[in-house]
Amino acid sequence: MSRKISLTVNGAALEAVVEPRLTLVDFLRDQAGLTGTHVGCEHGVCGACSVLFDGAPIRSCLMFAVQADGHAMTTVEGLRDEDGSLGVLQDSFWETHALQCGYCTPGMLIAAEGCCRAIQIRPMRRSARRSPVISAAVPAMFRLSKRSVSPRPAGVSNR
Amino acid sequence: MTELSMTGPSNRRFVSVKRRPKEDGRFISGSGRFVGDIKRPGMLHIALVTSPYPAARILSIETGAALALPGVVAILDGAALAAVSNPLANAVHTPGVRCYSLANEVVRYVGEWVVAVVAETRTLAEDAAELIEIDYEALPFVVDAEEALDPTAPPVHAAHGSNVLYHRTFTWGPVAEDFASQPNQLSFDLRWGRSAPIPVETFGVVAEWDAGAEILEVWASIQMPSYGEQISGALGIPFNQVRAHYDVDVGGSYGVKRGIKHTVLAGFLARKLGRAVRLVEDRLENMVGGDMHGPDREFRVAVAFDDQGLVRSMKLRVREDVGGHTGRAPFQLGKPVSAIVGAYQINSVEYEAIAVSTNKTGQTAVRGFGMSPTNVAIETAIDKWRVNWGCRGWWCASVISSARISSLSDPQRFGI
Amino acid sequence: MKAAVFDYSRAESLDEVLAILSDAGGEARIIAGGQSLVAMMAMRLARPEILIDINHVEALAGIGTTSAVVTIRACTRQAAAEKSVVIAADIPLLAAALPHVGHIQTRNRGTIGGSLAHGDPTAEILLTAMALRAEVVLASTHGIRNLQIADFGLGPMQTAAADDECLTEIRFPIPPLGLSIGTVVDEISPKAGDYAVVGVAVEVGLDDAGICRHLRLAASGASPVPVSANPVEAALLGSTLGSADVAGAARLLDPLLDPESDVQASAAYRRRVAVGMLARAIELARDRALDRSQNQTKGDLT
Repeated sequence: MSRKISLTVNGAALEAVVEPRLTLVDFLRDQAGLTGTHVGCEHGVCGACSVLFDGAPIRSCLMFAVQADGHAMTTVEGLRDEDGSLGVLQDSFWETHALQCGYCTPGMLIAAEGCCRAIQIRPMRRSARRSPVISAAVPAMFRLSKRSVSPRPAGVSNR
Repeated sequence: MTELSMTGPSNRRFVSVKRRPKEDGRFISGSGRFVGDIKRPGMLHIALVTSPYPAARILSIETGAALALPGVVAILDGAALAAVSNPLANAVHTPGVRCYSLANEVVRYVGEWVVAVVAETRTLAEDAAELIEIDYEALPFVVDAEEALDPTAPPVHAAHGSNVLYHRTFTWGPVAEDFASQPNQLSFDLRWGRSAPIPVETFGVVAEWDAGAEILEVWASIQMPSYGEQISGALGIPFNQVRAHYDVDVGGSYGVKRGIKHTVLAGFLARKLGRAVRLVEDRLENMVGGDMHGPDREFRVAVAFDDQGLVRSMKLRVREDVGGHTGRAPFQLGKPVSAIVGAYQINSVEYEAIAVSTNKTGQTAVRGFGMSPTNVAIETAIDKWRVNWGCRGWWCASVISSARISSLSDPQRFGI
Repeated sequence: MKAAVFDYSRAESLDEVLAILSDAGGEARIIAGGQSLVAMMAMRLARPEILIDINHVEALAGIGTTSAVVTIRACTRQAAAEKSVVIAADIPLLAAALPHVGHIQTRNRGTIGGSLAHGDPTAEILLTAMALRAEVVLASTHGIRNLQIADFGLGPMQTAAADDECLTEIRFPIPPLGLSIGTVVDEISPKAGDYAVVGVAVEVGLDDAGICRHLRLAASGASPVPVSANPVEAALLGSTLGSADVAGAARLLDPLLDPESDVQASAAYRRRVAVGMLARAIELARDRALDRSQNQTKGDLT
């Protein structure tokens, strides 16, 4: 019953054997080892599991991994710049402390990334501005230079 | 007293210096370490079979088909667990009330855990859970606390003899005299509805028994200091044989995540099976049987105030609907004792606390361990009393706030 | 919340979809966006033996138009429809409804046909289709049949599609030319993106004199499937949609309703709110149509 799938995750080609009933989020976390994407409500409401699927944000709890065969995904781990430093969106979330417990933050980042990609075509939609803190973080992305304006805590490198 | 300079260049390292929170770095890069990220070698997974009845007797549990499924390692029911573990502590003397991680003999609310299935993966455990057949005899149930007080109501904990788990009246000062001497009085009823907070990350625990060191290692979505103590009590092992790893990131809680029954179950199975065992609630388990409800209280409030408009005395009667399991209720009814007048200076107070069991989900320490409902009762009394005093219209809000200030405790009483 | 075992089949053509459906004897389910189906499978409320993935059937995606009808193929993503200039211009009511459907992330996967086939009684796409009297096309190995949307939606999660049929396209009529069109889709829901408790969809067409010559109305959440408000439309056509007329006519919706009480709202609440929201929405749509015609007039002058 299991199937072989080939997909691209964060720019890297992956091959895996999956049971059809394995959801994309469980695949990413348990088989691809990318635990940055989190399981929240498990039925598509909370957004913690959001990933970019062929460039657009989707709920990875509402897809089976087998459906992702031949497609490309980006998770929070893939939001870094090519040189491995934090992406400007991640950096601006940090700068503005746009999080509390951090559990859904990867989903917030993916939603914001999707939003930023979308506004290259048209203006930001209302739904991207619901949270005041997140709404500060997204414009901050455009203001922030690649060098952060606040010092990072000692011992925390730009991993 | 040291003089504080509010001007001049700051050479402070932290105060007034814009800094980035240290922990954000791992959260924005996807490298946080939550309980769902904990992996131990050979780790097994638990799925649960839960009660579809608010009250029922468990007649039989058929596990043969489930055990025969490849990948299924063990199946545990409440009778087997109760035989070798202690009831979960509730910190109040409630004779005859014995709650375990799994229902024993009877179920007391919809969603109560009845059987735990342990398998190589969570998916296999869920497959097996579907194959378990439980025969129940439905029993009468009660879901209204007032009805539960009736001696003829169905008993939730039959061995306790009554649905009243706790009833005590605390009195500070001459309440009767103060009420008798003050003609200005008002009374009202107030309801604090049951809430069911939903953390974005469900509660989860990974337990592993280190046979060499004889230590139960526990990774959980927990912040509670007394966590290890309560687990050791239920499992009957010394406190120093439980090692809780508090460095696990927690995806929201607000007191909701207590997870004692989860951890006792996973800890017991880990020790028995000699393998790491993981129990991460799925969203259905979290919302139905996770015991994460908040207080559910009915207040009767009476205040007596003098001719200057100062509250002289207050009586609070509170009836708490504990639900089917004693988790943090009825204990949480005690918290208001430490702050029964709120921020006010009131000459005398009577506080009557009644905890009643019903066939509903149990409670946990949602937001401030049971104090918020009492604060609402006190503040509502102040509001109503001020309106009753003749304070209506546009200036009411400012009078209420000045009334609050005039009733507030004298700072000198705190030695400030 | 892990789905029960199923077999997965990625179809490349409609014929393949229909053949698998025919062979499966009712045990196969089509997955398009899966935004409701996967959650139901995770809760094991749905447990098909075979899942037929139609996301790679090219013939099932896309938007086409004639002078009278816009045809949306079933597997067209809601997000694609939301961005479509054809839909914005020719089915403005659907364009107004789409932002209410789930969240951006679910619209990026969810499809127009999938939402209809799922049959959720408060789904906005079904509401819009009901207001506009859309037509659906169902295909099976036996052939093709067309159904009016009112004959397609039978009840909550129930449609007229047989086990071996695949919904292939939806045909929305284009509003008459020469009228100024105003649309409103409004709903009450616990939070944005959540299921609607009560929803209304209104499309108003006014002539140059401000007389209503075109009216399409539907309400959801107060009946087992959304209802088209024919008597209300009949009562208001030819009027200027004055407040008193609208309030009076909206009451004609009431006898069409058959609400049930649940944890979200009582039957009486649903009934009252449906009538009230419909009246309010008609007036707002009228104002939008008037604004539009004034702006067009201004545009003509300059």
